[in-house]
Amino acid sequence: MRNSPLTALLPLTRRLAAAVVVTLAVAVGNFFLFRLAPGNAANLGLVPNASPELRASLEHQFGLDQSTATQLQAYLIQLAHGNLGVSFANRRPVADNLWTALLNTLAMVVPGLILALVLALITGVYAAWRRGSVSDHALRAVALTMFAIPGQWLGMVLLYGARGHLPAGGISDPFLVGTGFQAELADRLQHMVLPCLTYALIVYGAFMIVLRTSLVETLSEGYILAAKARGLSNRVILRRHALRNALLPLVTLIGLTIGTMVAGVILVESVFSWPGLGEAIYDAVNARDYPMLQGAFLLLTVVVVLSNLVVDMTYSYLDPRVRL
Amino acid sequence: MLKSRQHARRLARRVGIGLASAVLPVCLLAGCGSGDSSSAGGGGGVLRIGDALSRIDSLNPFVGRNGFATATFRVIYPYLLQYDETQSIVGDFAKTTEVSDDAKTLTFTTYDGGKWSDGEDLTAEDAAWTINTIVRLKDGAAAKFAPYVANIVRATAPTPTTLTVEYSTPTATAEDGLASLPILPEHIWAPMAEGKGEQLTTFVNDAPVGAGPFQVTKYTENQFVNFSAYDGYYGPAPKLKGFGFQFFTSNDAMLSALRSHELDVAYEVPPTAVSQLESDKSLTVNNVPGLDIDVLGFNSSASQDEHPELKNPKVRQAIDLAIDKESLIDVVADGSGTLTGTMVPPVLEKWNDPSVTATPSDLDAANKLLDSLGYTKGADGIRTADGHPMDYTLLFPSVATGAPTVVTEVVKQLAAIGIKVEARSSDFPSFLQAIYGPDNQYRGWDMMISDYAFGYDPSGYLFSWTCAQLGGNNLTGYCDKDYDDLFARQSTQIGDERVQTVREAQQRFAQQKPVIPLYVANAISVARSVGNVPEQTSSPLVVVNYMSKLWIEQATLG
Repeated sequence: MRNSPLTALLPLTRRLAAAVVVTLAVAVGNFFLFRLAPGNAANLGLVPNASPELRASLEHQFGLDQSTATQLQAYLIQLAHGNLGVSFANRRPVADNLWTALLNTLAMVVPGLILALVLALITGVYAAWRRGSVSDHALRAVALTMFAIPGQWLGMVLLYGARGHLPAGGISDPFLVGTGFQAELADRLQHMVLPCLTYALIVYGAFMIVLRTSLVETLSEGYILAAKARGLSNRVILRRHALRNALLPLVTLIGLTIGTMVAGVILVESVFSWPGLGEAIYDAVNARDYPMLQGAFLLLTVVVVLSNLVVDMTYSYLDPRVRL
Repeated sequence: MLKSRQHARRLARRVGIGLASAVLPVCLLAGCGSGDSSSAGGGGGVLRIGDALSRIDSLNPFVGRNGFATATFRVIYPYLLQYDETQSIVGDFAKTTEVSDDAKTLTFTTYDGGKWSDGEDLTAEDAAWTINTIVRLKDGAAAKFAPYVANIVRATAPTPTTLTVEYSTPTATAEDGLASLPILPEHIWAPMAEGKGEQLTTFVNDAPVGAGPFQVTKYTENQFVNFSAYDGYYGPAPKLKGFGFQFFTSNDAMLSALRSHELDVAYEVPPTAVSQLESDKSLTVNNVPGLDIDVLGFNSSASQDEHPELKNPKVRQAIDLAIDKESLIDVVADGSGTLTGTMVPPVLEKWNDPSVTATPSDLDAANKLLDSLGYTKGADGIRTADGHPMDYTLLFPSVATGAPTVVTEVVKQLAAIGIKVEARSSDFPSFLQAIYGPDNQYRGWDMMISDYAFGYDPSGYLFSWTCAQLGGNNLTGYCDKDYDDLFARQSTQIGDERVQTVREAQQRFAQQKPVIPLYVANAISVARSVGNVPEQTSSPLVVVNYMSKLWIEQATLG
């Protein structure tokens, strides 16, 4: 008997419902987590020379003079209306702040991930196909080195290496004005090169090693030998039979990388003064900007939950035996 | 197999196209979010300044507090008075200043013809409104400015170019206060100041209406701010076409940008970079005594009863003797620092008491002093004081100047006289929370290392240690009536009398040693081809000084 479309969607609906519950639980957890840190946005460390009256006034403005239960209730009601609140630090909507920071982070992460994937695919496939050869050893050594090198150090090396040729920091040259769209675009692309390259090299090592290992395993399977015996070309064997099966662990790794991208990019952002999510979170922690922190971690939670969901769906597509 | 060159070229082309198509939309999206399309000029006359330690915390003068925010307010808003390179107060919007015989009324003649950047006239009435509003709201929304309007009864503007400020009593800091108070356009800010004025602190003000020599043309939070010269300025036209601050998150990136000619000036340069930068003949390193003092403080509060020996001036003297401040300057600041024995930095020559000097290191004398108190060393090398080991907890904020090296060095040096110190680091808000403890009881710690800097008037350096600042700026819990009396006395004195009292306060403080000054960090900046800027200045913001417009008015490029 064939399943109805509704029945087929049931597992996905179940997963989505679980994702919503997890996100809500994390949102509530985060609310309490940030309030465990000493001090708040009206603290003397953040508002030096403030009189007790000013601190009281700021606490009132920020709602910090209310009970934790009342603050939580207000937060959840706000959240239910799709409102992430207003930043204590710059008094702008948290959603606007996060959107700007997220776009900046994506401008570095997306090209970086694509570059890393392309490099990993080329070198991983080559190394696996030529396993045991000098080039396999050399490529693995490079990948392991990239995997082991601290991202910040790598960024600094690239920074010094490219001094005078590529911009040292920031997302654009603030002093470049009235030069037209093309010049500004070129400026932005130049500013992206070092951060994107650094991020790509940081994540490349793990991608390459996982892909190579997985591919070596797959290439020793009986069905690959059978395919060769059938006289299929190497390209067809790789593309149709080996790579598709070998990609599964890499897909998991990509999902994990996207989920933890902030941890990865914060060091790169710090070296290249890149105003992305990592920087925004760091600033929010220092400012005890609860709405911003709650919003940022909610966003990260959604990204992790969604990337896991997408990974599971991709698994199911690549290997139909895997069900959601 | 990927061995065909042709195939490799095809693949490379595909990869290239794929990357470009992935990069472009994201870049354009990001570009739309934070691009710069209207900032001041480019090259030739636009001074580009970088900093990696700080940013503008807010463009709202009722909220913004840090150096770059204050420097921005200084250039975009009129101030009645300002400091010159000799640390003397001179006119800004005020052309002349008259002090009444009873020293309770200041009358200013202000410039005529100034315009706000939205075209409205700038008059003395704006100044009177600003002062009166701050006086009215000093316990609430305008509390940030409260110290600057101390004892002001009212301000009046009998004519558009005359301003009178009345004080309830002669006030030593009257001129310094007015030199620290930006004049705001009444027509913009008055609606927000109604009632309790809560909107004054929630207004973002990212397109400020000003009347100073430069106006903000583009501001992107945490990244940069650009200024262009303003032709409605009441003072001399600035020589630069514009200038801007670019904020970095790493010194390496900032210095790399300076070397590759992306910047003209780098501020707050780390001392460790100085020698390398000095070898570059195209750069001018300005490495001068600053205002930022690192101190070792003792918990002096009444509630500190766990280690009463730390309140004994002799124990403090022994610790002072044990610390080699010159070696701290060498190790921590690579030689870029100065010694001081008082909490007023030596660069404030008029106020610093030269008779209170830094205690030279003498380990033998320190050990003898502790021995004479009967605090003998145990088998583990740690002394015992009144039945308990001299084993102390030291708190410090991770952002303190020279931290953590300065802390490591002090801990090592104290170990040499049998004092064990466990150092705990935290961010600044957590540090303060730990220092004050619940209900400002100053419990749970013994020593602290932190740093502080104020302006050119000594009141900031003195008032931090008064009883009134317990739970406020007072980081040691020190409260001494005689010291407070000296502080109160100097605040109503003028001229040499005040200088004398300020110095007496420093002597009293040095006798009791609630803190030991470790060193004064130099202000270091590096510039390429910037002219007309005084070489000797204690401000880290050398060109754009937050206490004066004089530098930026005169600065030239090339």
